Amino acid sequence: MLATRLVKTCAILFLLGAGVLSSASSSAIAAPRRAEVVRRANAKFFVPARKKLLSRNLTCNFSRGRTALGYITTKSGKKTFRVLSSKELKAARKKKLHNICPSVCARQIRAIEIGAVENTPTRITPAMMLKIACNPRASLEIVGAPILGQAIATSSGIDYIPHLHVNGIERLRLRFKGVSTSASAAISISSIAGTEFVGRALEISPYRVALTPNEVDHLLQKVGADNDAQLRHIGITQGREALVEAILNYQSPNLTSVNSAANTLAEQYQYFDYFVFQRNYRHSPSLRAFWLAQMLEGNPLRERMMLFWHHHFAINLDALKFSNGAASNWWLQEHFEILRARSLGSFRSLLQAMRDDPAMSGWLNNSQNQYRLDVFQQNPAATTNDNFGRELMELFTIGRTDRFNQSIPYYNETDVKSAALAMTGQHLYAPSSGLIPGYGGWYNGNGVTQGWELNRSFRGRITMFSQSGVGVLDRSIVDRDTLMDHLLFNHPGTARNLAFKLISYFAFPQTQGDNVSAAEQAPTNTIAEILLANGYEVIPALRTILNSSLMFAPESRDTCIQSPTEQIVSAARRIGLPLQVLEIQSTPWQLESAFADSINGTGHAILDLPTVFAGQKQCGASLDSQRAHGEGWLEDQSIFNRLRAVGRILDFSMRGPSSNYWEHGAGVKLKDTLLNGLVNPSAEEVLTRIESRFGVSLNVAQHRRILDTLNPFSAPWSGATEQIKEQRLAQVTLALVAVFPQFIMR
Amino acid sequence: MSLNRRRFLVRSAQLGGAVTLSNLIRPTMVIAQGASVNSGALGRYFVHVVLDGGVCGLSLCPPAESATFAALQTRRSALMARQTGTLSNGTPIITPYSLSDVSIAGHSGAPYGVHPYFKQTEWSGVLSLHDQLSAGRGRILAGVGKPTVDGSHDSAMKKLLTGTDVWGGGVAKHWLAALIDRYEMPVDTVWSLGPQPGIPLVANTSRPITLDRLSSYDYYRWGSYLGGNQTADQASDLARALVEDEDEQRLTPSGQRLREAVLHAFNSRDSAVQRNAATVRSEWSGNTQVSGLFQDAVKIIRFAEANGNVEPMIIRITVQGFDTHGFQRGQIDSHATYFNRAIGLMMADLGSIMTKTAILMESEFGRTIHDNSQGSSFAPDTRGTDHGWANNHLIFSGGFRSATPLVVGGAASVSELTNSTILSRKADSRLPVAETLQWMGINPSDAFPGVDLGTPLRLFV
Repeated sequence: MLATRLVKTCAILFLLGAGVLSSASSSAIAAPRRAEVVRRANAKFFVPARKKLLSRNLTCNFSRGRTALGYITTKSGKKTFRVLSSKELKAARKKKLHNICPSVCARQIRAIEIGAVENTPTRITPAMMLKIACNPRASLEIVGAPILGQAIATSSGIDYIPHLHVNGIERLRLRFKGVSTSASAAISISSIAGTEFVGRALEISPYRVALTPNEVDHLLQKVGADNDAQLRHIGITQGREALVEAILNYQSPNLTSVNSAANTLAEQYQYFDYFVFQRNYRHSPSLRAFWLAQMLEGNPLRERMMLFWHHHFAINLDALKFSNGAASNWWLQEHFEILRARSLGSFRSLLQAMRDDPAMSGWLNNSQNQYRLDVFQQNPAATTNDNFGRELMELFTIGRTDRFNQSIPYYNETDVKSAALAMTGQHLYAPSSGLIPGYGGWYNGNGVTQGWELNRSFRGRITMFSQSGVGVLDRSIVDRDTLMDHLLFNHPGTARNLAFKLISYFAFPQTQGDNVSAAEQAPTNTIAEILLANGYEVIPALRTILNSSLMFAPESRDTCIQSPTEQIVSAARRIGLPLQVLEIQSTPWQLESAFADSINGTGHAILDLPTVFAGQKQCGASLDSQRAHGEGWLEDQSIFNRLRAVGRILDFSMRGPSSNYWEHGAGVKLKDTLLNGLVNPSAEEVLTRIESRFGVSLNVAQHRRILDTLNPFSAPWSGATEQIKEQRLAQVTLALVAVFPQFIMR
Repeated sequence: MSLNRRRFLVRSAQLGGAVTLSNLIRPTMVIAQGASVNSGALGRYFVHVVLDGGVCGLSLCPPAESATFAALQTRRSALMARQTGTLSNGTPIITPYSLSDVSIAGHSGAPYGVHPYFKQTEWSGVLSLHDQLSAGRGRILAGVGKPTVDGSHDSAMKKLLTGTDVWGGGVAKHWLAALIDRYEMPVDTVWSLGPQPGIPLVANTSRPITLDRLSSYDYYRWGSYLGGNQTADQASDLARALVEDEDEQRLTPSGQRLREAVLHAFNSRDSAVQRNAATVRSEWSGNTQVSGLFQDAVKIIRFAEANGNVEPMIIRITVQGFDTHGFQRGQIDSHATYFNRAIGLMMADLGSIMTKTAILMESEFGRTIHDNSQGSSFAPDTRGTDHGWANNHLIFSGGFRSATPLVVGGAASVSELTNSTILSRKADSRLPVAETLQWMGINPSDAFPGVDLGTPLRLFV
């Protein structure tokens, strides 16, 4: 009985509430009031007294001051709405009517009902919101956050994109900028689940042209261009091909070389000793800071490929410094510039540059790999240092085995010795002091370069790979160039290995092992052929991969565990942290940034990778299928350090300027970056924005937990100070971007 | 027939009684056949230290009997045992060490060598590695190795980690993963400390494994594994809860692994904070990668011991920095210093627990003197180049047979050391692992099924 009464009471309250809402809604569409008539020439038009004008219904459009609309009352008393004549306009201007036109337009706002399809943008224009098409160039803004999708304000209106697999009605509150009156747009969303990510995992042929926003975001994340509004717009409006071309031809306005960065920063920090700066800037932390800044605001694909190559040619400055002292600073910069200049160029050129690179030579001991005829005649295998020759084959070119035939090695120890023999003769030089005899020492000059000593270089008959029978080399004259080209063009391993790694890194880890079907091998073979046909230029291969059907297959989604660097850059991009957050700080001894320093602790100190083998952690690189998705990153402390790193960045971002070096924050608030466009949002609106911005989908329990953090019962969000709100926002942001699987996977 | 954990413990207890091993192990692995296993088999600890790369083990432990020492010095003039003279390019050699610097008495009455830095005694009550060996608490496993197909890191890792030539592809398991599955070992009895390049501990086991690399350095510096970052500290509980609440069905398989790893990290932190309450010697404070990892191992063992542990516990530690191919001397000096300190402190802090503990140190590759001859950081013909198969390994324990000689396995002849590019393998690298497992009451055949391990070393009582 009581329950029945309660239900009835609730029903009545509900109906009353609906009535109130309905009433409120209709009042928002105010009926035109009668205007004051001012006689002028043969026409009358409504020109209210200035104070009253705000409440009048005169509608006009002063587009560049030439055109205006108005209600005109003719002599016969008939009221019409038309373009005003120049005289009428002049009279209106005299009354300063143009100042109040937006208000007047706003009074004409009406509620609309439109349809939308999941995951597909629907545009709401100002004209749609007006009973009379006045001032169509006025811009709309959203009041409150959408629930079932995301809304993006553009110059021509609002692009509303319902989330994937959503059915329902979204009620957006909209208004014209600067006008207090608002009205609603009811958007009926229908789901057509299953229409995106329908690529096929074994097909390297192109995917369909039109992309959904989720597919665009997917591709952008894969190439490190998260949250790039321009690319996103191209993808949604022009489709796959245009997007891929835009990615491949990205024009970056940022610094393109370390030297120019050094000059710019030296000018910026005038107290800084330029020469000390020049030297120390080459330290790995400084280069790392520079690189991270580029990842955030430079050419995304170039930086992503640079990261790819850095893992392919893994190097460690600490080890280099141990054996080569200060000279390694220059070497590392040269190494860095080689990667930068060639990351989107030819792999052949990159490989040759790496072979000749002093840093690589120091790191893999090739400067100690010398051919001596007298020793060679006594014992052919006793003259070389094998390290570079071995890694040249195992890591840089053919791989230890074929990815699809892992039981038969490509080479044996004899082949390693032969490869090392062909690579003999490299020496490191200082321009000022000449030859450094196989040793950098604590060199403190102005740069070191390398050269090849003919009398220390082997050039003669070499036979290789006869045991495996694959890519056999047997020539009377072999030297470093001929061997390298043989590995690239005459041995099948290099192109296949590189093709495998590229597809696995950008799309998803390809199946490897001894029982891989021909169909599963097909994508790798196709990309290998493209690489060979184009002299190992990587752009054609990347173009094919990024356009391919497999790139948009379900297998390609959320499959790679991002490295700490990729993840943190992705987080910064999606939060919208500006470059100032990464601002390279200068001290008299070193350049550094909080961002770069934070990444050091994650176990992914780029440019100081722990071993030559460290690149195997990268998604798609490992020969072990069980670790091919980046599982190598899953170490306990590394996980905590991801939290710590993003936490430091947020701290650094929020804290604001201070005289202390480490305390010198950029003063960037999350409410200005993450919540930009939202005015006094509720906790629910904040959560909705965060969810859409980070591309995560929360379940009920997670939703509740975050709301409890933002809006705890004991201290509600609405009554919290700006500082408390910012702290809560930072906690939620950090929890979602640092260790949350949905965010870390790409 | 599956052997669950309860049955495993029962079996171990039986082993601890009077059951012979002959029905459990392969014929070639019969060690102390007919004898009973020590009744204290339960609750033993195995610290397995793997050095990534090719530690120049022959530098650390050159077979330096007096008759061969001079010959070795000649061939290895760039390394620690150098002879006065000049290199072929005229570079003078200054001999820093003599036989007395490196020798250990006890190898069939003749001295056997270790790196001179292993003789440094740094703290009161902490023995140097040299003294540990002299006191019978350590053994040198000579000529231990693993034949690799091609000397690559990849194939060496296969052999080192899986105990077979098979890698990945759902076929081979890491021997440790095989034991975990076989015996349903609890998560806190299997640990992997240190960076994990290429180590598939997670491969092919459905059970959680403690992949622990919590940084003692961070903890002691900041009192937190989050490095003292306040925002991260505040957010960590929410982050953990969100990951716990995540529906596994929504994640891809690799996403599920990530989720497990994150939760594992938080759980590890909880237990680590507990065990960090254990006090250790203050000398540990000079933190290096090595000492940090060893210190963690000490805490894990002491915490387990304080809580009445009866499970066999395996702690695997990987240490990087040994993949060196030149400038060997300075690097080996540095490593020797760190290890000398860390092993000394570890054994000092474990105290009587050492009777239940074995510490095995092995490396990915070995080196021959031949390939490293003439190696010098000042010489243009420096080499230090090889990825050899065999090496000298070290093992420390309080549970050795007293009759076990200082050097076990098969020491290479000077001729072989100086003329071969790859040292012949005298003993399988899996053998000391298998014997240690057996000492702990674990059937080694479960770790290395179908592998003929050869003649036993007979290390333990």
